[in-house]
Amino acid sequence: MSTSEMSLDQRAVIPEHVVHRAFAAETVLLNLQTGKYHGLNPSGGRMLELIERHGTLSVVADKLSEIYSRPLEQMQADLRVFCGDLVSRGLITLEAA
Amino acid sequence: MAAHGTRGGDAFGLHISSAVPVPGLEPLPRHPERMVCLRVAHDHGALGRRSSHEILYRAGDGEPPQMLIDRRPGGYGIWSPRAGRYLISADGTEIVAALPQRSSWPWELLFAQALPIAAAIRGLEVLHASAVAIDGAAIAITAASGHGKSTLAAALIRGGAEFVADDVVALEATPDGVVAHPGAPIVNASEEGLARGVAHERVVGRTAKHHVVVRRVQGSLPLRALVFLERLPAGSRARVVRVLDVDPAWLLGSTFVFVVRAPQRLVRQLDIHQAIAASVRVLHARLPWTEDPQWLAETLTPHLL
Repeated sequence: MSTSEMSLDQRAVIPEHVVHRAFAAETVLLNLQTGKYHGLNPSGGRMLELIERHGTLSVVADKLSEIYSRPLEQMQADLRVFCGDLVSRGLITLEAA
Repeated sequence: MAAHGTRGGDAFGLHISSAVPVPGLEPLPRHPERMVCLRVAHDHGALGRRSSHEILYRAGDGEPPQMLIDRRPGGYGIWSPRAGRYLISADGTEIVAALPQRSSWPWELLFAQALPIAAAIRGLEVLHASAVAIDGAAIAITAASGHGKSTLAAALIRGGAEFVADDVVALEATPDGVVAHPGAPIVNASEEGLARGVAHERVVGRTAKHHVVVRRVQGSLPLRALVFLERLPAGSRARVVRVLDVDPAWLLGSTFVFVVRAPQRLVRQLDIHQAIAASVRVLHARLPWTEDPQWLAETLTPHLL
């Protein structure tokens, strides 16, 4: 899925076959279907945490804008790229809200 | 299901029940709930054919294979032309051993592979580490093979620590924290190691190394510290630092059992690594190669107390 096809009205969901654990400087995601590990830096870990808590991408972008005091448009663009990467690796799915 | 034997003992958080005596394997006071039945097959054919699903193959360049581990419907098979064959059931409750006929230490693969694999199946995390106990808590030392885990552990023991495990240590996340279970009370010591005074009760076999029985701690202990040992060129300055943001890849890479890839094991492994990172003192010890392991122990000890 390209980032332009992604709607911020969509909900991001972490599938059951993906588990994640937070460490001090990294969040590790494990895809149990592939047995592969993936690492997120603290910013990525925070995005994943907000995705898990809020789901809907527009809400997540709002929260990120608040947390990092950055323009909403920039956070929306960053979130699109981030989610596109996770979708391509099978680590999240996007659903209609 | 095979009948349980009346002999055996405890190692790696497992209670091994065996119909035949296994040198050095003795019960510990606390009876663990994880029972494994060990059976010796006199017919090597009883273990079935090697599976084509090989998951670990160890051999030198141009040399015949030394060991092969395969996954099969009934569990995991270990095959070594020198050290025998083993079959570990898929649920980790039974080990069938076809021992080598010409070996002065026929149980090598039981301690080096079969029991650690069974422990991983049964819910324990198994690190490639040696461990000692100081003041009632375990200190695990992990490093690449040949980088002196056992030598450093032996030096710590000469300084007053107690033996917990050599080369493989079984860990468990409990409500009270991460605990280390004693390994087998067997050390594979080099000629040099014995000459240096590895304190042992008796020699049970000799291959390329001396296989000796040592006195071990009498039960599981809280894991106080995990030391990542890295060696520097001789003459370098020793550096021991506490790692507050441990890289999960260090922990994942220090596992001893790579072959058990069941989802529940992978999740449990991640859980215990997270518990270690959160609650155990993690040290990065960069120590130079030296002829004096006692100096290494004395350099490290202040960081362990």
